[in-house]
Amino acid sequence: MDRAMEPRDRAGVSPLSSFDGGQTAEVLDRSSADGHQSLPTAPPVTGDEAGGSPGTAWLTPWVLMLPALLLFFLLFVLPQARLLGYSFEPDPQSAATGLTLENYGRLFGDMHYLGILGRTLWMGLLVTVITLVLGYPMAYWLARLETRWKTVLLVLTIFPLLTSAVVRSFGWMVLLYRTGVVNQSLQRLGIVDAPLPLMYTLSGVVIALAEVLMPFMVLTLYGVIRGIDRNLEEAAMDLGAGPLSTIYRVTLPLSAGGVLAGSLLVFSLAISSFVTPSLVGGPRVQLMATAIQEQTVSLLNWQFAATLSAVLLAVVLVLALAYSRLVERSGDRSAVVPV
Amino acid sequence: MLGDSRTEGAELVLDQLRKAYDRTLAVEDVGLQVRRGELVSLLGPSGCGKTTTLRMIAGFVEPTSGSIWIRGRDVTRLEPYKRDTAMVFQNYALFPHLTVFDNVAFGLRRRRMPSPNIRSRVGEMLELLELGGLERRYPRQLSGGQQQRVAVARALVVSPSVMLLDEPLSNLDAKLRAGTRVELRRLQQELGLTAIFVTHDQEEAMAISDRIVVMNRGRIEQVGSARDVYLAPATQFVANFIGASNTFSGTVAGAEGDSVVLHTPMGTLRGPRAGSANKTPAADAPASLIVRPEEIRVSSPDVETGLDTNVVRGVVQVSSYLGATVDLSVRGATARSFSRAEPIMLLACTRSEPTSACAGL
Repeated sequence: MDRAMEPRDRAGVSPLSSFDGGQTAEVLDRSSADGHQSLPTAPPVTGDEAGGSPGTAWLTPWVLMLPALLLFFLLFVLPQARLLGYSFEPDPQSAATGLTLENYGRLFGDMHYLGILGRTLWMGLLVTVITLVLGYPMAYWLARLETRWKTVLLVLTIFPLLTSAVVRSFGWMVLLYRTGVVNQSLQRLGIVDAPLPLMYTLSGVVIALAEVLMPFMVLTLYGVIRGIDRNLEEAAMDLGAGPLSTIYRVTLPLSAGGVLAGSLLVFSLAISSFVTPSLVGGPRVQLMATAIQEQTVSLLNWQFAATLSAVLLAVVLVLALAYSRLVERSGDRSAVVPV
Repeated sequence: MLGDSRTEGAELVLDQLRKAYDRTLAVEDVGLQVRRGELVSLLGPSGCGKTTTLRMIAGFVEPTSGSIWIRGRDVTRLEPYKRDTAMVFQNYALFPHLTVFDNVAFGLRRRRMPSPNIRSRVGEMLELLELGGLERRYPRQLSGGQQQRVAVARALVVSPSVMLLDEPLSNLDAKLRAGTRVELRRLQQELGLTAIFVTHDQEEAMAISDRIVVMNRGRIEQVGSARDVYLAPATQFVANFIGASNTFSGTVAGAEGDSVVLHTPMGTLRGPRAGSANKTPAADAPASLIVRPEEIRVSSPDVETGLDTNVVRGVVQVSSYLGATVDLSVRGATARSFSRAEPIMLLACTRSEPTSACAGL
């Protein structure tokens, strides 16, 4: 066959190690190819090479960021500051001038507005819990699925986000009316005698919002659960933990970051949502967003509307800060073992 | 079905195990009996089915057909958490959110052992693996070697009937690997563990195993001790995969008793017939002679050897000095393009026991 022969001395190179070597070389090749691509695009950033004095090199990133910073300032910082400013201005119908805390006094001193705030937070909590409880198994199932239909299923998960919240809320109205599909089905099946009051109630708002916000929870959890090494679950089972015990002791703790992130996202979106509460809840279910709209558009009391907005913003900020603290703490422990 | 006679005395029995994925056959008719206290390696190139076999024993992969018996009990369709096996994963799979202590205690807690017993048992195990004082560390705060020992401790602590090791040394650096290998073997023998050790490293398999199962393309090529597979490879694949070898291909010229004479482009060569080829090879049938490097002597062409066969002349192309050994690449005498290099003569000697193989046909 082959005329060449290759007698090797003892402890010569095994076929195996040369195979491994081949793999390594391939990886190296790929990285060096990347290096070639990125080299010419790397800009000469040091001041010396650019001909400028070395002392101004630190300025470069700031100059590059300037347009973005300017936009950020004009479109975010300034309006927010203006909003906060409004909340410290007196009621337009009173003759008082200067800065005042009376708007905040009115909000926290009036059971009506405290009720709206409490109801909003309660609604946000309910929506978060429902999306978490229903979304976690779904996200887990999607993350562990091994089929070519996976992409289709993921797109289906995101699909609701592609239709406007207005359309979806109208859909829920059709379902939730006294004579809607849900009530008719329940009555025909004999589960309830009289139609359930779902439209224009907090329950209806919670049901509709849970559906509207479900993709945010599922997608957040999906990403985190997919990042958990399957071997960890296998190791748990191998050591005698059943499927539920494995999820409770391994998967759930390791996806805590995702649970927190998804919950924060859904909660923030729920308490600040406007379209669904105003369509499904109507004027009978007063929530923060609808109250702000009423103050702004109907009562023209921008000062009080700003106060309500500032309180809502503060709630979200406090939660976001608490979240980042929690993630930092859990991050210390659950950093993935280097492989 | 298996008779009692086949499962008796064997800690683990694999019977006609087969795993098919869609159209590809990952594992085909794998049969194996492992005695108590025996360490058996599954050795083969990647994709040979060794890991799939291991995962079937653990219960992570369901066999398409065949059966698995542990201590005389059919566990083929049993869930992993109901099997008396414990696995050391290639990436260790330590729970990153649990301390070293809690990682090792995990299996005992699932077995509802009272916590004072858990404390002493885990303590013992950590002491045994020289992990004392690291109880409260998290896995990411440990070195690679320490992580590996925690993974071993976590599996050992539940006293499994069969311990499954999936390339547990491959993530250690070369220096640590050899030491850990010896340590693992000592531990296994001391505790009388039955273990299945998956590796693609033939040296590792030879160093650690009682028996080696050489696998290729989902099938078992040979089962035997390190000595068996090295000195009497059953197939050409085993001969090439285990250790370095030199293959001389040619046609059969004739057979005398146990030895076969081959015509090759390098000259006439004689070698013992491989164990699996019982029938006398037909004349002119293609065959190859496989010679281990240590069976080859090298000398200059003017030395009188007194041999008429198994002498090959050649030209050194590349000579690599490797300290204890020298690697030579030699082109056969019939190749004329390297005439400027110094000509040498190679003598392929055979010892009394069968040390080289003639396989093929």
